[in-house]
Amino acid sequence: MAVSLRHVVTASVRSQGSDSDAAARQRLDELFKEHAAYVARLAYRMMGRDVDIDDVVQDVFVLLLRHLGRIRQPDAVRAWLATTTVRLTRRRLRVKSLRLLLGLSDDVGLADVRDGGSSPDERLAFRAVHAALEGVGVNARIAWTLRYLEEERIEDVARLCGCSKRTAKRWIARAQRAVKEALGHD
Amino acid sequence: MTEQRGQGDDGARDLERTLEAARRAAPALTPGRTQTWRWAVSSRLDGRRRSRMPALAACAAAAVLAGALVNVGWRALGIGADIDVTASASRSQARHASAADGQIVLPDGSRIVPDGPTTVLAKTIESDADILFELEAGGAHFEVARRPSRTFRVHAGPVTVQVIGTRFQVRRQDDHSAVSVSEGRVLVSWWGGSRELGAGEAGTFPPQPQPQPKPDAAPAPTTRRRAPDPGPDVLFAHADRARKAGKPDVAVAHLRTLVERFPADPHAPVAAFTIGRLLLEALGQPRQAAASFERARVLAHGAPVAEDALAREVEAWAAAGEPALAHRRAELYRQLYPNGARRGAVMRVGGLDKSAP
Repeated sequence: MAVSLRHVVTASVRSQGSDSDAAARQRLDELFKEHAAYVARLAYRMMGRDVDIDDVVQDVFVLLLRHLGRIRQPDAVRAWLATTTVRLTRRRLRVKSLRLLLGLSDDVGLADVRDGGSSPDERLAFRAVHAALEGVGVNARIAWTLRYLEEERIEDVARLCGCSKRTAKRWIARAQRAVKEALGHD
Repeated sequence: MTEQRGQGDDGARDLERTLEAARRAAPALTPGRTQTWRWAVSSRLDGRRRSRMPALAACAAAAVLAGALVNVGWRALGIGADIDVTASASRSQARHASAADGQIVLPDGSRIVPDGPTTVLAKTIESDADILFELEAGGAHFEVARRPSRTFRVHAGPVTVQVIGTRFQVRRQDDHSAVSVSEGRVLVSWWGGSRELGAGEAGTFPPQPQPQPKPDAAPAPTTRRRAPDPGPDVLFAHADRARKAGKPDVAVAHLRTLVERFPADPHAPVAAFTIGRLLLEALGQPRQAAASFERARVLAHGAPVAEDALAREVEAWAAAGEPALAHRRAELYRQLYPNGARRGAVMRVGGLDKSAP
């Protein structure tokens, strides 16, 4: 049976693609199992709202799958994920600030139906902290979250934020003042 | 002074307590939500790869064609055997492909033989539990090894053929697909119906309506061949892009096409769920959102996303000002998922939590 050139070429390209597809899917499953919860929690802590994390998690894993070949050590995956999550979250928080500045609503209604396994007290505390952070800049908010909620060391906060330790300390201090003031512990 | 220090200590302790509580707050991580993320990531990666395919195929075709043209040119000039080596290598590759008739053999022994040169067949999913081929044009003969633990499906336009172990033939015919079964049984499904075909049976699906005789029928217009319709993963990727670009209405349109055309596809429940979310959160249409969540739950057939869909349905009915419906769905949730991850929120929103304000 004669097979057209188009079919030969298409079949060849596709058979190569499908082998790598299967491997990529398996790798994606493994990475999701291992890291999705970590990325989601990190994004949640920085964004402050559950409904905002879906896009961040998806974007982070799409980027991870595209850059996986460049991450040489398996141990480096988590660090890469943390840095990328911080970067993408920062971008989203900036867009959100801009939208609010322009008077565009960011309300999602009954968003708190997604409360995970948290108790009402925990949710209340989390919201109070994030309400306090609304007034500070995005960088300060992220740095403070990494330091006080994620309990990272100052040097790790600086690395994740892509700044010096001194700058990280300054951002954290600024946010800490706002939190203390808002929560009445000044 | 001591009193002031004491107040300061109390304040620091209060702050630390608040922070400890805030640290324990966690996002809702249900299996359904994680599954939704995984599908979305997978679809976005597929969409990107797929968009490169035509370019890759065109480049490869151009390279082979250029080689052939150069060879013809050299032969016409009566020059050298060196070039002929390249040309014969090209021919031998083509012979190798045609010797196997473009046949695809899977590791489990299943065999797919394309009907001819016009057949365009792509394997879009291959895992232990699921194999999916997309027949974009032409026809193919399938001999599927019996593996009850795996779903073997072929998308052929508006029709999905699902088998366990059988031999069958599928051929695309514009908006329809012809299926004939040599051995075993297959389930042919399309939007609006399905039919089982046994050995020796054949049919064209979706079933064509009986033509109504028209006395003064005008001559039929010349038919134009339509471009192959995008598959479910491509539709999902389009929807995701539209959603991210801030066009939820466009995203909903893509997802609705997916759900309507591929209700049996694994993407369908997630697509219906996402429609519900967009209608509820971005488009402010809670009634339609509730209907979509219900659809997602039905399509999920008990998969993890069904729990999320039911929880969001409660939320949508509450937002639509239908407390009775929200209440009923919340009771259903309590019955189906007594230890569900969203139980607290569902009970509260559905009005079953008497302690709620």
